[in-house]
Amino acid sequence: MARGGDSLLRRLLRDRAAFPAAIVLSVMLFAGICAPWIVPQDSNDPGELELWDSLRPPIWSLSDDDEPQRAEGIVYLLGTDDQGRDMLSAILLGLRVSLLVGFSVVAISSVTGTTLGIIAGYVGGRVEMIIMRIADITLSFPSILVALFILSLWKEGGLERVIIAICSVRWVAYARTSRGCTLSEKEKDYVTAARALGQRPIKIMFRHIFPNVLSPLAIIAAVEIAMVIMLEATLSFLGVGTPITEPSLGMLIKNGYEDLLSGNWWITVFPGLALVALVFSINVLVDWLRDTLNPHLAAAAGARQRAE
Amino acid sequence: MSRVLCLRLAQTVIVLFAVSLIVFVVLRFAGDPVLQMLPRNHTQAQYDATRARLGLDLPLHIQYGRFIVNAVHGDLGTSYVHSVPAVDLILGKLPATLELATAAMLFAICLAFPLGMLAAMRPHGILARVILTGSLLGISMPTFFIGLMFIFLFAVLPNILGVEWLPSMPAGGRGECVAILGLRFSFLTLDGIRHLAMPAMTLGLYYLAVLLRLIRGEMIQELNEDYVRVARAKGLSEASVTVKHALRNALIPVVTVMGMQFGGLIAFSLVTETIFQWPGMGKLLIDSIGLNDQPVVMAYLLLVAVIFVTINLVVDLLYTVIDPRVRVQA
Repeated sequence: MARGGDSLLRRLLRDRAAFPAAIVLSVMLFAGICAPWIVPQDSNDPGELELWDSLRPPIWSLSDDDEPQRAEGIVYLLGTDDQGRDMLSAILLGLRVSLLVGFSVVAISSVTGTTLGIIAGYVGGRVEMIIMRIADITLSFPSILVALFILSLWKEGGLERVIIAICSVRWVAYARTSRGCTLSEKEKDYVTAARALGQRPIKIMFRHIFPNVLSPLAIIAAVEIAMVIMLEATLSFLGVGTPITEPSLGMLIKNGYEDLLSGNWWITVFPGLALVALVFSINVLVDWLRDTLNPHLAAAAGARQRAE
Repeated sequence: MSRVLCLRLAQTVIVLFAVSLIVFVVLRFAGDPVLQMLPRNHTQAQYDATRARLGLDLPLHIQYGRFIVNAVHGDLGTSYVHSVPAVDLILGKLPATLELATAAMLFAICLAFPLGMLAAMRPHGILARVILTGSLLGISMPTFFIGLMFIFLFAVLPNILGVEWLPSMPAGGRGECVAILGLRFSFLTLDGIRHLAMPAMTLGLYYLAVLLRLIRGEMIQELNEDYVRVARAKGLSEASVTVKHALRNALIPVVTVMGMQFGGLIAFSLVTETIFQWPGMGKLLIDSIGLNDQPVVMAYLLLVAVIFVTINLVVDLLYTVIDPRVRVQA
C-alpha cells in the first residue's frame, strides 16, 4: 500500500527499528535454511563429537592454559556442551527446527482455521454451531495445556507430532476472525450478485469472500509465527516437544539448564539469545507492518489482539 | 441477570461434559496404568485383580458413567500413584499456585499502570520509546527463558563472581511458610518472600509487557477524545484528566484482559513451577503426566476448565459494574 509514491520497501529502509529487525530476521532465516551446509560440525551426529572437547567456554573467555582442542578444523566459537557439541552448530540447526515448526504450524493452521471460519460464517446453521462450539471448547483451555496434553500422550514420532499438536490449538484465532468477517461480507451486494448469477457456494466462499477477509488474517498469521515459535520452545523445554534427534532452540536451552546451575552459562544463554533475537525481530516487524499498512488502526487494537 | 447467569452455568456444564468425555476417551487409549502399578514380574491373576479394583475391566461407557456419577459427588477418582483422592491432591497444591499467580499479577499491575500511562502521555518521547521497546522485548521472551535468566543473574552469578551488589536469591521451593486456616503461605515471612520473588517476577514479566502495551494503547485513544479536551479546557489538572477521566474509560478492555490473563497465569505457572521447584498444581500436573497418573491429570484439566469459565463469567459481570451501558449476553 504505497502512500505518496513511497514504496513499502523504501519505508522499511528508513525505519530505525524495523530495518535492523528485518536484517536480523533475514540473516536468521538464511542461517536457519542453510544450516546443514554451513555448520562447522553436524552436532546431531554423535559420531562427530569429541568428548575431549566437552564444556569448552566460548572462544573469547578461553584462558592460555586451556588444552588445545581435539577435533580438527573446528573453532568452537560459542563453546561446547557437555557432549562436546559445538554450540554454534547446534544453535543453527536448532534455529532451523524452530523455524520449520513455526512456519509449518502457521501455514497449516491458517489454512484450516480460515476454511472452517468461512464455511461456518457462510453456511451457518448447524455446521456453524458445531465448528464454533469446538472453537469455544478449545479456547476454554490455555493452548499450552492442550498441546502439552496431546504431546504427553503421543510420544512416538518426529516433528510432525509437535506441528499437529500446536496446529490443533492455534487454528481458532483464524476461524473466529474469518467467520466474523464472512458474516459481514455475506450481506454485501457482490455476494448477492454472485449468488443471483447462480455461482456455486464453494466458489462464492473462496473466490469472492476469501480475498476480502485476507488482510486481518495476514496480521494474525504474522503475530502467530512469533507465538508458535515460543510455544514450541516452551513445549520442548518441558520435554514433550521436538525429538532428541532434532533438537530445537527450546530443547537446547533445556539441555543446558543443569549446566547453568554449575556456572557453564554459555550452553543455555546462547540458544536463548538466538530464540529471543528471532522472536523479537519478528515482533518488531509485525508492529511496524501493522502501523504502516493500517495507520488508522489505533495502537489499542494491536495490543488487544496480541493480548488474546 | 439471573436468567443470563443460569444460561451461562448451563453452558459451563456442557463444556465440562465435553472436556471430560474427550479426555476420558483419550486417556483410556494412552497406555495401561495397571502395568505401571504392578511389579515387573506380576502374575495374570494379580493383573486382573488390580484391573477389576480400578474398574478398568468394564465397558468404556459404563466406566464413563461411573466417572460422571462420582464426579457429580465431588470424587474425581483416586490417584494411582499417591493413593489419595485426586481432588484432595490438587486442592492441596492450589494455594501455592494461587499465591504465585496472584503475586505475579500484582507485580504486573503495579508496574503496568504507571509505565503504560507514562508512555501514553508523551507517545513520542524518549521515555515512551524505551518503555515500548522494553515491553516488546518482554513479549518476545518465553517464560522459561526469563526464569533461567533470573536464576543466572540472582542465584548463579553472585556465587561465581562473589559480588555483593547483585542480590542473591534462593531459586527453589517456597521457603518458610505460615499457615492460615490450615493453608500454608509464603508471603508472610521474609524468607518466603525471598523465595517468592523470582518465580513471581518470572511469571509476571510477560503479563506486565502485555498489560502495559494495552494500557498505553487504550490511554492514547482516550486522551484524544473530546471529553478529555473539555476536561482540559475546564482547567482540570493533568493528573485529574488522566487518572479520573481517561483511565476510567480505558479500564474496560484492560480489566477484560487482566481477567483472562489470570487464567493464563495459572496455566503458565506450570512452567515457572517446574523451573523453580515451586510445589504447586502445575508441577503436580507435569509429574502426573510423567507417571501416567490419569485421575490427577483429568482432575487438573477439569479444574482449570472450571477456573477459566468462571473467570470469563466474572469478567463479563464486572463490565456491568464499570460500564452500566453494557448488558451481559448469554
